[in-house]
Amino acid sequence: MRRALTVFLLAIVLIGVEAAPVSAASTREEYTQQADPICLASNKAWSRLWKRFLRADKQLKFHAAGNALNAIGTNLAATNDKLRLIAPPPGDEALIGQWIGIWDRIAHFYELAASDYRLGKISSLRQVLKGTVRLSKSAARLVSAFPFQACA
Amino acid sequence: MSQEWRGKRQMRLRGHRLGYSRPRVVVGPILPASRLTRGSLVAVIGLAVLSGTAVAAPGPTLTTPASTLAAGLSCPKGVKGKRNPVLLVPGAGGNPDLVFSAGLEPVLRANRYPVCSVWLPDAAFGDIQIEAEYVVASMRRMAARSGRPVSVLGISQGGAVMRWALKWWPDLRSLVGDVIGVAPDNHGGSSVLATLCKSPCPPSTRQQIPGSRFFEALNGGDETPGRLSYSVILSATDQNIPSPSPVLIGERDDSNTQVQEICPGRDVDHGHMGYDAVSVALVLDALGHRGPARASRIPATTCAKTYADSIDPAEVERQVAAGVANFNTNYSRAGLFTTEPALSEYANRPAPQPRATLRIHTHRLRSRQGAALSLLAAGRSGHARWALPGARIKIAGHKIITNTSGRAWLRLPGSPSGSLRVRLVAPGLAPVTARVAL
Repeated sequence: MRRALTVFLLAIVLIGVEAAPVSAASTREEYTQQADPICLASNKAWSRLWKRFLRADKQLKFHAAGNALNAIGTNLAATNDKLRLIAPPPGDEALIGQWIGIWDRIAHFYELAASDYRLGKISSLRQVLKGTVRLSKSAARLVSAFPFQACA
Repeated sequence: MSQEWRGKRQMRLRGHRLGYSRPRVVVGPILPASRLTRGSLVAVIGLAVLSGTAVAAPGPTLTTPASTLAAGLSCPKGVKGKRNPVLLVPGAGGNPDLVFSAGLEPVLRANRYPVCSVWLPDAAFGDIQIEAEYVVASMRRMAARSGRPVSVLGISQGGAVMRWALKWWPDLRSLVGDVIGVAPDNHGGSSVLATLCKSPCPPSTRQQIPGSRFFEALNGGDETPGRLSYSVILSATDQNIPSPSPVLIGERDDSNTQVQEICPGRDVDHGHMGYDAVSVALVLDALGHRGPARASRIPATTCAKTYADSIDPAEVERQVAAGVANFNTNYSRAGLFTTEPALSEYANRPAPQPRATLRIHTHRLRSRQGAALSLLAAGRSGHARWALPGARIKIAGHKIITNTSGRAWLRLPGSPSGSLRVRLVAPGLAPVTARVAL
């Protein structure tokens, strides 16, 4: 009975941890301090995946290269989920929501790019990647007031 | 050291690269980790792909949207079959329905060739450089779908369109079976074109005037690029593309055959070349044999027929008349101009010289079980690389053929040692010979 209660309470705590923001930031600087380490770790993984893609593309391993491109999108989506757990500074909720939304679209674009790459649709792949560049610029403009180092 | 580990190490040490120069430095986000931003990573990937440093599609970028190019290809009965599929390219003012539906299309189908045709924009009166993009996209798509080489047949201006594609897009050469021109405009049409273009005329008409910038670029250097079988079928009585305009001067095995070589005195005008019994027999001869068409293989009895079997004579006359009407109706569809379209930037550079490359990894198996070889055949032109399916590799008395990814595997039993001679023969490209140490 006592063990069951412990498990129940632990489950409640874990659900709470999952649902609620990990931490709250009261200023833009605080938000940046919490977000940047997440982005930095993600960027390093991203860089590794990109190198893996280039290596596979060079060796004509089209499937492996497509997987690497797809993994970039998955990695980016996971990073966005982590960023959502940080409560934005008061008044910036909508802005941050919009900003993460754009990065969600970029993540989706990389998954589309992977599919195009595997099918050999090079012109479509180029269009999709042009879209990611355009979106990342608009994302950067949106949070230009935040002192981001890695998340910009 | 365990056997397994030793095997892996040996595989790494014994990896051979034949035909490749030194590996290129990997272009990537060579930024300090602290300076990695999400925006910079997106930009690096975008730049590498858009500039062609990574994922370089062979040949010039296709300027026409992929969906538009895809819509131009028509394969009513698919591309799968026991024979190589054939792509038909119509001439100026024509479309596949008018040019092929009562002639070459039923004949080829009756001979069990899968047939596709390409619909060129503005009834093929626009810029031939753009029309060539439709041929490029169609050939790539047909080869990918069928898994076989694609034979391409161009009639009249269609002959110039297909040759433009083969000249500037290097990967096409490894996808081609036969290249056949029926009354092809290879050096310019009759003086009527120059007369027409004294006033504003369509882009492709102006490009077909002998001595145009277009023909200078098309015929500069090699008129028959790649190690391909070029067959040219012409008539001495063709008024629109008079001899010797269709004749190709090639460095390799190509044939220029006049129907009058087989049937002296035969009268075949330009509009009937796609229906004529002798002309069609030469087309089937080219498709049915290795290498180009040969007049010597056409029986003299063919001369007794006006049109090829499977062709309805009444339908021929209707189609020829409809073709002339279509030419006149669509003449100004692409606009009328006083100057020739500017040459694309790529056409001012030397034509690509693609080459075949072969990469071999050897892996010695345990306890005298022999060695396993993994081979990858790829075409290469500048930064662009593409897999070479259907390439033949001869190694240590074994003959193997690469799969659709350009890959092949071989196991050598016993205790092979020393060096082996390897020869790669890829369609359309020069053979590669090298030695691999075991």
